[in-house]
Amino acid sequence: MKRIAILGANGQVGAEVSLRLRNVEGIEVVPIARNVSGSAFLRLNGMGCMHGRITDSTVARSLIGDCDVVVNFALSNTGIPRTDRDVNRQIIRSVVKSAKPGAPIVFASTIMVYAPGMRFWLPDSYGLEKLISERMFRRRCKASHHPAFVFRLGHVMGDLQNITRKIRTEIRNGKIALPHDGCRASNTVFTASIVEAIVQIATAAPTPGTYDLITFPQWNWLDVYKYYAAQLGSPLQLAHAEEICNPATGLSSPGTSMRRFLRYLASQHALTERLTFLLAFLPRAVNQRMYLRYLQTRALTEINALRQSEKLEFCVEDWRELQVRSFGNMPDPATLMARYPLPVDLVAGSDQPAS
Amino acid sequence: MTELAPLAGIKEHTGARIISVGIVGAGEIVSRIHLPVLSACEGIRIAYVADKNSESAHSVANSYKLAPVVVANDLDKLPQTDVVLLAVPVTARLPYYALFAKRGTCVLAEKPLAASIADAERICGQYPDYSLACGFQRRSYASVALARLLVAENWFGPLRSISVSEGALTTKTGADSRFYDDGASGGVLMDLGCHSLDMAMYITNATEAIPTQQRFVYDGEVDREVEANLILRTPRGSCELDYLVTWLRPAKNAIELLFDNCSVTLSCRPAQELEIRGAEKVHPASLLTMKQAGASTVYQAFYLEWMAFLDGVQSGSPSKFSARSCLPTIRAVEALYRAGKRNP
Repeated sequence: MKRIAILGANGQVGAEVSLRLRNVEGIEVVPIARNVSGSAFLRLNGMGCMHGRITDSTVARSLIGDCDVVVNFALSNTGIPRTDRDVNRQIIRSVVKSAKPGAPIVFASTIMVYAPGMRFWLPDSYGLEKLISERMFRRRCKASHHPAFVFRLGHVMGDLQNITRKIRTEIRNGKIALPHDGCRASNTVFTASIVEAIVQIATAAPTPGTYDLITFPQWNWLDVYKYYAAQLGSPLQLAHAEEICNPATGLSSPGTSMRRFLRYLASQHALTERLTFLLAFLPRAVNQRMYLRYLQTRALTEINALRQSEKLEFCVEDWRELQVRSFGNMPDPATLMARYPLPVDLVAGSDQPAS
Repeated sequence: MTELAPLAGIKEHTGARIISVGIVGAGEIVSRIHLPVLSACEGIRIAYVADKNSESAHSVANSYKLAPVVVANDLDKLPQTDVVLLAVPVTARLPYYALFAKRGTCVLAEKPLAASIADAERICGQYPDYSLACGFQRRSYASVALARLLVAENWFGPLRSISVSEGALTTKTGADSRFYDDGASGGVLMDLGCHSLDMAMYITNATEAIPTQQRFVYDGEVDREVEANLILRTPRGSCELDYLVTWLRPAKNAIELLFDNCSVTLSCRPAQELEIRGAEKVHPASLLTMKQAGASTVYQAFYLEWMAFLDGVQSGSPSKFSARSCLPTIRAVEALYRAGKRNP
């Protein structure tokens, strides 16, 4: 029997992974949370949990010292960046130090390290922090001879995940607007795929390294919405392009550059004030023309706001597609979700608000 | 009356028939409002800007890279278009109405439609309902749509009275001070007040407004302030209207609808919200909004006015801006002027 510690088991991903791992043959899952309040959901669903501060290496040793695999979903997220950075690094230090010698350790990172929402590589603070933590994790694991696995998780789909609830609600409510008609890769991963990866680490000793835990071959957004629509037994109603809010509308007509420039100026009061002074040196006709262009720009902006208000926003982010470094061969998510099921009552009630 | 063939394809702007629009009048309302709005509309081609003043016609047309047309007495020089915006002073409009009716051109006329109710009715008679509209664009405000709905559906019980207060101590007249100086605008009631009067009548769906008391402040021939009490006849009975419009002092610039247990206030300016207060007026007002109810800016209001008019032309059914639907307001303005002259 392989003991697998799940740190941060009270979190969204940690909880669902723990529940799906529970009935895997040959696996004993050890959910770990800081306190009993955090673990209440798991305990009430029949899972025995361990409690303690993983940042304290003495406590950590008692929590994970006898586990064959340690999976770290723990994340400090107080909103105070310095505190979070210190705590998250201390978690890594403590985990690597306290884990059973030679035990593989999994660090849950994120695809935000690729800045998928940007055209160029400039991660947000979350992505940068994770990137730095990954390096520290790999360095420490190497020094202490632990096989290190970094899982860069995409959008995590699963019955207990907010994004899944959101998708189901959208499908029930009516029309769905997807960028690029839903044909762009979704960068999603299902909780069952994470479970499969953990099981493989515990049982098959794959090569340590940094992996993008994204469904491979990638599902596009249409696949994801179709999957949930089929689950709900609801038709998937896709919005047509003309029903979808398009921020670029109205910018392709003549005078675009001038209007963009004027729109920029309108938001730069200090600059506008000074340019107004300079405008007085120009001929009256030029002044008049610029003023009317300004009015045109304003009218267009306000009318576009009105047009767009009747339209649908995209349901998902229009992120660029990522080159995936996949975690070996894995069955497709639908098969895995069936292989690692959640308790039936959790699936049925997971996306309905309490009355 | 000339029968007009409904235009096809206005609604489906992309790839559909392009509607040609002529603009008669090159004043401030055209250059600052209508042209910016029309240039943001899809499916429209502005064919010309005409004015009797050559400099104005050229200046405005050149600013928007349009063809200027200088009209003197020969109105037939005006190119044929599907639709015309008529934005010349109200006293100069009659020949244009006749010309466009004869041509079968649809007309959106700036308010007021005509200088008298007799003229207005005669003009309406020359056009099918859907093809002549009057620019009471405040009907497209989100707040007005919501107020009309709550009155029509009796949300707060029967409407007891309305109070309208609009205006300001107006010393700034903009570039067109001439317009106000010589009374071409018709004074504060005709120029500004008709809008809030129309709001009150539109919200209540009133068919008639009967002045019972009025006080006019004249400056020569031009009325600068009007204070009046009127009775509004509505499908649900009568209600009182307290009315003030002024260029001589600050006003609330709001319309208050009084019900038995609460009052509802909306701004005379474009807005999305209505303020609701209990009858005691002790507690702070609650805001009521309705998503996508209408315009919340001036440009949005004019845009919706254009879209409603063009959709009406396309479908052959009158829009909420149809000239005929504005007749009660024009009649009320005239009744007030008549009462004011009688008892200045």
